[in-house]
Amino acid sequence: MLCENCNKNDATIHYTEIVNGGMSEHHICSECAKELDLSYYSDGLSSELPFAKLLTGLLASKMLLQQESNNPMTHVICPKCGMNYDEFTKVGKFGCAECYNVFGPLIEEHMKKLQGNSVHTGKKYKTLDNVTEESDNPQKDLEILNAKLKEAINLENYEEAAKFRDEIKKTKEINEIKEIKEGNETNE
Amino acid sequence: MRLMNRWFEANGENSDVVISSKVRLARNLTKYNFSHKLKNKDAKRMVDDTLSKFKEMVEFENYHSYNFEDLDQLQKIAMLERHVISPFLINQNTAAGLVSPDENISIMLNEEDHIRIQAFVAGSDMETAYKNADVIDDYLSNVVEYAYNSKYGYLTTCPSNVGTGMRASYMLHLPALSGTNKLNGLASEIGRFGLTIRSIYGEGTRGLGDIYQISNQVTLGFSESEIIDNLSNIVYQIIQQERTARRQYISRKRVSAEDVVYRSYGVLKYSRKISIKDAMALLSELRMGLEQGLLKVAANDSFTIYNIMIGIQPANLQLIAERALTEEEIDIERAKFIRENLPFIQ
Repeated sequence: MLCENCNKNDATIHYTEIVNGGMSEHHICSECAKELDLSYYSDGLSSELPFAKLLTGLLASKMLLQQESNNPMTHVICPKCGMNYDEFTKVGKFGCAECYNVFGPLIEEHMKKLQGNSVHTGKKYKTLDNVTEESDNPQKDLEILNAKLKEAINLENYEEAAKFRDEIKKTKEINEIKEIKEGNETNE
Repeated sequence: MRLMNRWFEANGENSDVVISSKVRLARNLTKYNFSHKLKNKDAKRMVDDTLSKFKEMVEFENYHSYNFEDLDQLQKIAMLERHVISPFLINQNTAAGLVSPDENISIMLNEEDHIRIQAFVAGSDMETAYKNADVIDDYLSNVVEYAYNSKYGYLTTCPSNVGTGMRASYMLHLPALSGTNKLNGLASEIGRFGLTIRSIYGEGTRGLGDIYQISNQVTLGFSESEIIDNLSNIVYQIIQQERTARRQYISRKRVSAEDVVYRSYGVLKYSRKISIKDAMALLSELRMGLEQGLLKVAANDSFTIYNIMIGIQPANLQLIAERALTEEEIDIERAKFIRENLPFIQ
């Protein structure tokens, strides 16, 4: 089996990473492992470092594939900080807030793999004008609930899963009622 | 006169095992590029502008402020050893910050993210640690504009912090579990829950002083309280396991256990020079002995072993001596520091 990072050497290090019940397998050659600092993993006391490096590793392999197929996305440059895709995949860090809009869509799958999720559900930021960034968006609520349901099932936490299932059902019903109402209003 | 105890001078909930609870929040400003795309000139502007804004706030009128421009390397390292600033910050050329009078709350500017807020509480009380950090976060968000979007939450330099931008960590003293090699199994076990464990001072498998840090790795897709609940649940199980291991060890070989603790005390109290490795190992034995009641000392409220562990780090000793010391001189100063700060047996 070839190393997923360089696609050149035979993979000698095989490991399974589990984040929130989502399992992913990685096969890496010893040279790349050194570069990615994966040696930290082996002693079971992983620091923050490998996590980020892993992202760059995964992205780098993806990048190679995309370069081969001449994906136009690989020519993207962030207009604010000048970060290009090549550099982004090497350092695995965002250069500015705008980078999230530029590179965000490209790494959504990787984000899911690393974090187990891809949508923020924590504290909501109020801007300086005291406006909450988030508007009432039932579609987004559903997205979040669906993500949580999947999570709970992955973790075999069926009690929680049932709760989310009911909530999704309720949200959908509310949405439908809203839509009917809005439909009636426009009809009137 | 000091009015308030710093977190490492206090004993909190479950202090037999838990030394501290810490919450760290990562925030960035929309106005500037993130750290590794921030030019020196802009970094200086970001740091100076932001610091002066924060310093003007009534909420921070009692806080100490610092700017790396005015600090020498030894002062910075001593701050690092007291956990007031982070290893990342100390390597930055341009940096500044605010520290609460008791040093339990620290706001760092130009860390990996523009702003890092950290709040320490003695013992196991992550709720208070989060509440304290959260309040500061609210204060700051009144005067600066954060980088945030509704999908990814708080935008951070590293994808591993995005979302809540929160890292909650318990600092644990686990002599019985690490002495019986049970930690490696535990490490892989807690990985399943999106958590990580690492030793604070140590290298190799056994952490120096048997001090470990357990924190959340996942920051996206869960609320702050969900992350804290998940972490705390696991940590409470580890506390129970550590207590069981300690009880088993002591009940099986009571005299041997007492012997180890008294010998540790003896070496610590009467040695004339001592290496950091020896001192940390002996302090760990003594801490467990004190917590399990194998030995009693005549101590006041602000006495903690962890405070001595911080005090005997190299930079702090050199700061006390007010000069750079050779390695041997450090070992001599260390023994002296321990002698002076270790209370007598009751």
